[in-house]
Amino acid sequence: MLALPAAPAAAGDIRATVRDRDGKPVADAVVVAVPSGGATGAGIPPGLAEEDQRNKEFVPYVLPVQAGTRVHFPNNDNIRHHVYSFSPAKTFELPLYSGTPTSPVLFEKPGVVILGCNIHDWMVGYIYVSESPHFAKTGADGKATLGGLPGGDYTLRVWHPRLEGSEQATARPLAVPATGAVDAATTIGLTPDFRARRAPTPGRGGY
Amino acid sequence: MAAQLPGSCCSSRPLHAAGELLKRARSALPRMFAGRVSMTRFVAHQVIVFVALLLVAIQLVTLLALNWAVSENASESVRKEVEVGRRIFVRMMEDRTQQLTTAASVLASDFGLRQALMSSDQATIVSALNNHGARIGAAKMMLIGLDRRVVGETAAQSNGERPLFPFPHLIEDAERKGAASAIALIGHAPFQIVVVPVLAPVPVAWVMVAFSVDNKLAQDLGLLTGLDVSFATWARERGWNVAATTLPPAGTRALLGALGPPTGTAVPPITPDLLGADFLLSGSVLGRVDEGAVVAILQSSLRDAIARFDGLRVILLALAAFGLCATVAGSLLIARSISRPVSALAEFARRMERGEYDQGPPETRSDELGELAASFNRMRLAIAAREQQIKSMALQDALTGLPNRALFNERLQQALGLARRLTQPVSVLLIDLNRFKEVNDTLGHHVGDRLLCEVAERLRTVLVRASDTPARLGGDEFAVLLPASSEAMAEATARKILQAFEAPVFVEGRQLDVSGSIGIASFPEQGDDANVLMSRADAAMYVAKRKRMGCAVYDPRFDAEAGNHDRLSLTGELRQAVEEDQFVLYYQPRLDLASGAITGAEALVRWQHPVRGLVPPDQFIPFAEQTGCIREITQWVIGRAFEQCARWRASGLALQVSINLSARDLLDPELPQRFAELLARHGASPQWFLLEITESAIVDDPARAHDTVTRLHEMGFGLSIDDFGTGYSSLAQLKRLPVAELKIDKSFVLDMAHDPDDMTIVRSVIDLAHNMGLSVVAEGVETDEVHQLLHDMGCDYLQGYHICRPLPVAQLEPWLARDAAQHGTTAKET
Repeated sequence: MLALPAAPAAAGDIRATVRDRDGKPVADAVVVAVPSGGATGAGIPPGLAEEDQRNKEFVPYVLPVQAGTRVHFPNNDNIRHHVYSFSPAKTFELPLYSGTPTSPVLFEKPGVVILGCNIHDWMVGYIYVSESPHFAKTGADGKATLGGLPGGDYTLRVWHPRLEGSEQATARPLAVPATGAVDAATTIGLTPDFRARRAPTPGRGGY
Repeated sequence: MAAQLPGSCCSSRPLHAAGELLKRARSALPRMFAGRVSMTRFVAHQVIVFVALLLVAIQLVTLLALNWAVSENASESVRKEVEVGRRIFVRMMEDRTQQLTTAASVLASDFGLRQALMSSDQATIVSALNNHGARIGAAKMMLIGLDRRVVGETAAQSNGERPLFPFPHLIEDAERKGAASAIALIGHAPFQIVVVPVLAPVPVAWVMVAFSVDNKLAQDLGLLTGLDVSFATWARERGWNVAATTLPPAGTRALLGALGPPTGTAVPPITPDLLGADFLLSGSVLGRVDEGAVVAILQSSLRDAIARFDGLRVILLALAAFGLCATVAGSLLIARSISRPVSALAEFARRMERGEYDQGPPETRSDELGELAASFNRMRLAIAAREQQIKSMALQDALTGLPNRALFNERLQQALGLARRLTQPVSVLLIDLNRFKEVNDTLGHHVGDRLLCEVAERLRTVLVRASDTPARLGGDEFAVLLPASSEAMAEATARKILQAFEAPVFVEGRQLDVSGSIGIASFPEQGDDANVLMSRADAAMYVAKRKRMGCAVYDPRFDAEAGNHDRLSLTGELRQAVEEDQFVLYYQPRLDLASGAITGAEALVRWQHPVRGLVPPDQFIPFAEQTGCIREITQWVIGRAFEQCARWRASGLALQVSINLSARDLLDPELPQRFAELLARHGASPQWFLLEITESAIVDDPARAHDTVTRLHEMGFGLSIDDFGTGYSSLAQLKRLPVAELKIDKSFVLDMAHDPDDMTIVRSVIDLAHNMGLSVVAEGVETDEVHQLLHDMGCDYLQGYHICRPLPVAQLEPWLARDAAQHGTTAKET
C-alpha cells in the first residue's frame, strides 16, 4: 500500500509490536524510527498518497505519510464531503466536493493532522506526517515492520489516535543492525475512544 | 328572613354568624305571627322553630365538616402539589440541561466557530464566543484549552494570562460523557454551566456556556410547576441571597427572613415548614461548591389553597340561608294548611255544640284532616239522627205513639202564634175517659193499655186534617189540637170523637164500652194563652164529666166547679199558709130531722188568703192532696176542731163535729196516733166527732184505708161516707167498713125536686142506708121543698144553705142561740 522504496541490501528491519496495557495488540498505531543523527532526507522523496472517503468514513483511519507528501482526498461516496483540518501541522479545508479534487494537499510539516468532515461529525481520520521516512502502521495483530533501515541508532516512537500522554513519551532508543531484524515491543496507554456518533442513515430506520 | 341575614354571609366567623341568625329567628318568629296566635298556630310555630333549629344545626355541622375537610384537603393537595411540582421541576431542569447541552454542542460544532477558535487569535476567539453565545442566549462563554486553562472568555479582557478553568471537574465529566453541566456560582450569581468539547473532530478544546439563573427562568418553572420558584444562593461569608424568584418582594423578604443569617459552614437544611404553617415548601440543592451553593426552593401557600374554597363556602352559606328561608316559608305554609282546616273544624264543632246540625264541615280534602272532617260529618249526621230520635221519644207517648204533653204544648204554642198572625181560631179538646181507672184496676194494666191504644187509633181515624194533632197527655187524658177551628167546628169534631167511641172495644174477648168527657176551649173566645186554654178546656171537661154531658164548651161559670186557673200558684202558697195560720174553720150546722134540733156541725176549712181573700176549699184541697200538704192541713183542722169542740162541750154545747179526711190522710199509718195525741192535748173525746171519708179514699187503697179506718173506729170515732153516690165504691166494701152514716152527695140533692132520677137515687140511698143500719145525711139542701122531700123520705140529717150556710165560730154561736130560741130545741149535753 505504501509506496516505499525498496531498502538497500545492507539494511536492517524493525519488527515492532504495539500492545495496550492489557496486552492486547493495538491496531492503527504508527511506529516511527528516527535516526539518531536527525532525520535525513535520504531515501526516496515523498510522493503521493490517498485518503479515501468511503461510506462516510475516512479510509484509512490512520494514514502515515512522510513530510512533503501530497495526499489526494478522493470522494468515493455519492454525496459531498467537506474535509477540513484545524491541526497546526496542516490546516486546510476542502469545501464541499465530490469526486477527487484536482490538486492534492501537501503535508510538509511533521505532526498529526486530524481530518474531519464538516458534514459528517463522526468522520475522523488521521494523517501522521512523519519527519522520518521510517515508519509503519500496525495491523490488527499490533505488528508493524519497518524495513530497509540503515543500521545504526534510532529513536523509536509510537503514536496512536488514542495515545495516552504525548508521543515523545513513547520515544526510546533502538539500535538497528545493518542486517537482520530487531524486535521492538511497545506498550502504550489508550484513552477512551472519543468519537462522534454516526448519524442514522435516512430511510434505514436508525441504528 | 333574608333581610335578617348577617350583612356578610362570607363572614370569617360563620359560627358566630349562625348563632346570631338563630337568635334573631327565634325572636322574630313570635313577632311575625303576633296578634293571631291560636293554639294550632302555636303548635305550628313550634314545628317551624324546631325545623329551623334543626336545619341550622345541620348546616352548622356541614359547615364545620366542610371547613375541616377543606383544610385537610387543602394541606393534602398542597403537599401533593409541592411534591408533583418538585418532580416537574427536577424533570424540567434535566430537560433544560439537555437542551442547553445540545445547544452548546451544536454551537461548538459550528464550523465557523471552530475555525475562529482554532485561529489562535485572542480577539477573534472572544468575538466568536460573544457572537455564538448570543445565538443561544448564553450569559457567558469560555474557551478552555485541553490544558484546562482559559483560552478566551466573553466579557473579559485578556491580560495575557491564561487562568485555570474554575470548574475542572466539569471537564472531567465532559471527557467521560461528552458533555457536562452544573449549576454553580460565577462570582456570586448562579449560572447553569455546560461544558462541551470542541471537536475537530476529536476534542481540541472545551467550551463552557453559562446560562443565567434569573427571574425569567424562575417564572417559566413557576408556570409549569404551579408553585412559587426561588433560586437562593448561599455563600459561606455572605449567607443567603435570593437570586431569582417568582415571589413578590414581600414574599422574597419573608423567605430571606426565614432562611436566616449567615451561620455555619455548610448549607443549612431547608425544611418543608420553613415558612410556618401557612406554606409548604421543598428545597433542593442544585449546585454546591466549596464556598457556596445554589438552592431551589419551591413553595405553595396553604392559605391560598384554602382560599380557593371560599367560593364553595359562600355558595354553601347562601344555600343555607336559602334553605332556611325555604324551610320556614314551607313550614308556615304547611302549618297554615293544617291550622286553617283545624280552625274550621273547631268552628264546625262549636256549631255542633250549639246544636246546628244542618251544615257539614267546610271543605273536603283527601288527607288525614279530610278524613277527620269526614268523620266529623258522619258524627254530625249520627248525632242529629240520635237527637231526632231522642226528641221524638221525648215528644211522643211510648204507648200510643201519639205526641205527648210536651209536644202538644209546643204545637199549641205554634198554632196560637200562627193563629194570632192570621187571626184564625184555634180550638183545644181535652178528653178524659170515663171509668178508665175501673178498667185498669179490675182487668189489669195490659187491658187498660190496649184500651188506650184503641182510643188513640180512633182519634187518628176521626182527625182527618193533617194539622189536627191528637195527643196523650197522661193516664187516660187525651187532647186534640184543632188549628183553624172555631168553637162550633171543635164541637162537631168532639161529637165525632164521641161517636167513634161508641163502638165497643174488644180486648181478650171482653167487650169494653168506651166513653169519654170532652172539654172544649177555643182561641180567641176562651183565652189567648195556651195555659189558659188548656185549663179552661180542663174545666169544661170536668163539667162535661160531672154532668155526663159528653162534651162541653168552656163557660166562665165552670171556673167555680173545676177549680180555677190559679190552682198552681195556690199550691205554692199552701205550705206558707199552714205555717202562717192563714186557715179558718167554718162550721155548717146539721139539722137532726128527728128532733128538729141542730145536733152537729161540719168543720169546713177556709183559706183566708192575704191577697185573694177567702178561698173555698175545693180550690185548694185537691192540690193540697196532690202535693202532700193535706197532712199539715188536716192536722191543723183536727187540732182546731178538737179544741173548739172541747170548748163547746165545756160551755155546754154538745155539738157533734164532722171532720173531712182525705184519701191521703187514710194512707198515713201514723194518723190514729196523732189523733190520740191531739185528743189528749185538748181533752177531747173521740165520741164527739164524726170523721167523713170520701168514697174514692177507700177505693184507691182499700186495704190500708180499711186498716186506718178500723183503728179510728176502735178509738171511738164515728165514721161517715162522704159524697156517697159519686164514687165507685162497692157495697161489699161498704159493708166491711165500720161506718155509721152515709152522706148523700149534694149533686143528687140540689135538684132532686125537679129531677126524678136524683129523687130516686136519694130515696134508694136512704133506703139502702137504713137497711144496712146506717143513718143518712143529705147535704146541699137549699130549698124548703127539698127539705120537705127528704123529711118525707126519712132522711136522718140535713145540711145545706136552707138550714144554714157555713159560719165562722163567732157567727155560729149567736146563730145557734137564735135557732134554739126559735125552735126551742138545741143540742144539750146528754
